[in-house]
Amino acid sequence: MTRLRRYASELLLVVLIVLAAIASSAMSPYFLDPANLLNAAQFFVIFALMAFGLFPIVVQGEIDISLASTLAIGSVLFATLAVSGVPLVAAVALVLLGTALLGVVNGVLVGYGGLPSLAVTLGTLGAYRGLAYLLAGDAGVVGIPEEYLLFGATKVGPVPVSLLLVLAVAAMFTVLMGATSFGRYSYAIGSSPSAARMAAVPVNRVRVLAYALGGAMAGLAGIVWVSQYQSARGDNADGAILFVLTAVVLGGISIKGGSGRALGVLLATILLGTIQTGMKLANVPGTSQTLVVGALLIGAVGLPRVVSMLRQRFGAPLPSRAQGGGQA
Amino acid sequence: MDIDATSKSPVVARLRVSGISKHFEAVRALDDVSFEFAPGEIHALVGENGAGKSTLVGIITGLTVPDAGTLEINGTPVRFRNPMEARAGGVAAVYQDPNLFPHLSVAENIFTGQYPQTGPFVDRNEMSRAARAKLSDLGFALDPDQLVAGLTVAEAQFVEIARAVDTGLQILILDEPTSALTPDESEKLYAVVKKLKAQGTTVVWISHRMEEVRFLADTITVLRDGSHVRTAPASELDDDTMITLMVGRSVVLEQVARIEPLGAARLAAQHLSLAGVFDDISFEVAEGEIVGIAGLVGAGRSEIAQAIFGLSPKMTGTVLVDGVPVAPRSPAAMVERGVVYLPENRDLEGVIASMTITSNIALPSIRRLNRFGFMQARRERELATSQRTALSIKGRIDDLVSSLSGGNRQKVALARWLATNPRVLLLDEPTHGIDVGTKAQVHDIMRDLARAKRMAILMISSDLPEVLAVCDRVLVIARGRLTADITAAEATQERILAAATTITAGRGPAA
Amino acid sequence: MSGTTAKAPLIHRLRERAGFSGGAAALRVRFIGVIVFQLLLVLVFTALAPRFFTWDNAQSILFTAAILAIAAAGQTLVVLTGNLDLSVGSIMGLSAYVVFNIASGSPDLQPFVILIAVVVGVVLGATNGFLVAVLKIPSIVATLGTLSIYRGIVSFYANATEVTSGELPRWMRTLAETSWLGLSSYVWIALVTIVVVGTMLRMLPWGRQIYAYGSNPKAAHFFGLNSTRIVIGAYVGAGVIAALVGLLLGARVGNINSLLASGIEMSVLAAVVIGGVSIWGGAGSVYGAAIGAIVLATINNGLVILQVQEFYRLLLQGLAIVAAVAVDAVVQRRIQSATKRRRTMGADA
Repeated sequence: MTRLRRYASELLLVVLIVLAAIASSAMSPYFLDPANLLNAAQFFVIFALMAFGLFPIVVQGEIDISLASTLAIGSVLFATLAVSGVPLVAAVALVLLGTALLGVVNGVLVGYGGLPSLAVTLGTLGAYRGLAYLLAGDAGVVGIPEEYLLFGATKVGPVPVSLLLVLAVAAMFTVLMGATSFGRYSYAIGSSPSAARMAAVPVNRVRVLAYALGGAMAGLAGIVWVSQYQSARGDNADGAILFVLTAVVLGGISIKGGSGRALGVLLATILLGTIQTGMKLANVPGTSQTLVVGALLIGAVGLPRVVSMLRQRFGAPLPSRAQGGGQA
Repeated sequence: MDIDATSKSPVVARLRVSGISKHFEAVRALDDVSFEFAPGEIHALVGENGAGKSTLVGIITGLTVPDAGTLEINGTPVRFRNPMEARAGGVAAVYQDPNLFPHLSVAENIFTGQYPQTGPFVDRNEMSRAARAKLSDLGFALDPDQLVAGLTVAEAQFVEIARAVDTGLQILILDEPTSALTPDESEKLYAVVKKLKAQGTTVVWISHRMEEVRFLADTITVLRDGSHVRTAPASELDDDTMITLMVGRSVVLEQVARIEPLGAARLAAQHLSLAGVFDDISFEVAEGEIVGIAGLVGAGRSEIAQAIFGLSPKMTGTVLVDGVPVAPRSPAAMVERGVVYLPENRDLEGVIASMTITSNIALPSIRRLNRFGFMQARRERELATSQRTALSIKGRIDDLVSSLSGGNRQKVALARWLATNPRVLLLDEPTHGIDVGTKAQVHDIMRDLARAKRMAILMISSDLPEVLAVCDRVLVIARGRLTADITAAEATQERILAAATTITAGRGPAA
Repeated sequence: MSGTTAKAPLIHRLRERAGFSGGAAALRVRFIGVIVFQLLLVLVFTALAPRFFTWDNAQSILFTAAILAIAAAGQTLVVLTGNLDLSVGSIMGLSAYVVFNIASGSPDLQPFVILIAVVVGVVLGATNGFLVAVLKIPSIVATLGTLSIYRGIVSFYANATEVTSGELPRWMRTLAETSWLGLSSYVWIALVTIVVVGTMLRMLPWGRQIYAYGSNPKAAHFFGLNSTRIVIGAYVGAGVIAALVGLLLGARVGNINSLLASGIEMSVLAAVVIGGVSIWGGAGSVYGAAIGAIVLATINNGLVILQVQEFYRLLLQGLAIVAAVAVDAVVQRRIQSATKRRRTMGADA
């Protein structure tokens, strides 16, 4: 029974997904069509990948709002390499390495430099975006050879490869955060940076790793972007951070750090995707969709506060056992 | 209103403390404390670390709510809910860490929230003038338009005092005011305090510096272990009596004689120095030995231990573990060498309260327990279980540390290091805030670790009976310097405290 | 025995006396630094392209800087408290839309356009303040959310239709086009706004409390300053100013669609941060922020003149933010150390 209680927030997400699916299908009969669903799901692959990249960073109690810009660089880089004929594997490797390095810059400034992550990534958000525009030029990059578009139309059976990629990444992060020292260190740092340091955790190194990983995931998302849109421009994914951050927070990852699971991130992305797809099918305008996401973000962070404030006001004791948060 | 027959003077007490009690978790910080502060006097409050001075000050200034007891100012009962109310009621305190706004000017700091105004606007000229007047009144020559960020610590303190001084100030409490001042600066402060007294303010002076207390105080109150011991005119208490009153206890902790011989020096420190914090610290801890480090809060003991643990790369000097020099570059490097550190602040640094016992205990050992980079839950649980048994930790290994009592948390903090099979243990106030029963358990564990397991233990403690009962040798640190290195046999509480409060001859108030 | 002062070299003592030591100096240097940086920019660009150094060009720079500077003045209020407001662009858009819609729909309300904008600004700003100060949602999260909510409301409202400034009160339209003494009216408005806000911050108790709270929130609490009121007040101020900027933008641009001022937050923040308003709070001024706006406008202008790609602007802007924050980190450490330093050892070492 305690097992179930620990996963309370994930169960809640599942319930919400079902509700959202029901609502969406009520709004539009096309929603439940399997082909449509798979298609729609592909749209959110990129956000899912970035959300997983953001996940360890938030667990450590920091933030990275520059991921969308890193994605842009990744996509432009990949497209350029593809057009230049660099072998697929090498291109992928170079892009992942490059975007990881962009993440390392953030990580070094935050970890070793001690600068606040919000301010640093605010700066790199702009700097990397500018870099992306520069690399892409006015027109962006087009005419990418077929074989590089592996995450686009390729399917394994009925399922698009990109969706499988997301599942694989989800599994990887579940293992990473749940069963490796990096994961344990991350939760420790997020719970109490000073205690972690006292326990001889290599705090700075672990921070840099998280940012590098985040950058790499954004790069991976960039590669998928190129596959899906067959082009790359400097303004790719501009503004995506709202969706990504909401997915992470909705997934049960506390903004203060120290708790949250990969499964939650996956479910939250599915939930947001379901809601947004439903809205699209109901012809809700784009900015209204964004409005809903913004409201969900504030709600996801604000509601627990309201609840604990009310709790304090009315004197109910806070639980002393973990409920849903914490490592698997 | 009845005049207490035993009170010394017919004048109404400036502040009467009656039956004040306060406890935090398992520890009784104050127990039925009652005494009086007379009007227009300099009243010294002395006692060891943990005697309850800070708690009492917190209650008087409205920071803390007492469990029981009352306060009366000039005969009227008062209850302050926050420092602002206390200020309005004429009670102000100046603490060791400045409560100032570094980006703002001196004048603005003095008048925070009470800016002189013309109409809706702050009258900066008037503010500056009034500040200058206040400062010169007290004998401080400070430019009121200077930013606080550019001041020295002493000047910052003067600003805080100037801020507190107001018509209507009944009581000014100064907590360790000269701990960071040069003798010159201290002189200035003495002059100010005397002036305030002449103006009728009661000044409460909290300090460990005996010669200062002797020089300034009219009345001295001694607190010990949360209880009031004595309030008497300064002329009736000499230094020795004061120290005896501060330490004298009926509780004697058992000393278990050591049979096992000591081995070679396991930890050796040579000429350790960290600018502005400690200077030329040299000592040795042998295999199987427990060495205590005594001294006042702020003397630099924790800093020395933390520096040895690798948290202060700027430290100079040599550290040797089992005869081999090591460079304390980082905690990880030192743990590698078998040197571990248990922080003083248990809840913020010693454990991660929101994680389970197992996770906490396994944290420094994860790398070792990993197989191919993956954690082994089974091995972690085995480790946690064995440590729990060894240390008698009350709780299931899947419980969160936040649900444990202070004593058990400390055991978890200790267990995480014992799991790494260390050679040198640096313990910082290991039994602070723990109930007596668990304290004894921890002492037994320490003795076992040292004597049977041949570890070298360095224990920082402000609990003198504990130091005497558990340690083989005692080092005393005062103001960043080593002032004593004596065996337990030679040590007495009085001698330790004297070494902790002594300042090298030649410095002291120029009477 | 006089301790360290006797031993410290003469130059240090002089510096201390002049207030140029440690934290105080750091703050001064920081402000002067921005000015120096701006002068350097002018020098460099002039050297690279003599066309740069003309009155015409200066006018152009000042005009671009004007709108940014006004918005930056509002953002300064929030950043001084240690928070951020990412929703300024959305507030601008929403306010412009609401005002122009109402003004065009009901001509008798036209004299009140400014008032309506102020009301809009107060409501939106107070919401931000509530989320941050009462619900204690981190300002990045809260204003990222309101950024999209406010923008969404615009499109709801607008239903994708446009409003043209043809329906604006005449005096607003002419104001947008006028120039006095060779400078656009907007530059003068910016000047007035900056001086007003700067004076408020400097001369009103509320302004001083903002600085106090930003400088040391714990001490502020200790001295009975109401942090909720201070933070909400800052956000309301920022909201009102943003709303008014929305009006100005709309009047100038001519027609307003739901995308007005979208994405301006980065530039506003960049101006503020570069101008010396520290992200930690308590340090900086609207004057610095204004100079920051001029710096950004200068970079933009210079790059155009040098025919460098527009994209370098974003890159440089981002780098400038990182550099400014890094410098501020050093300043902050200096300032904190000045008052937190407790000498364990005596000074008679």
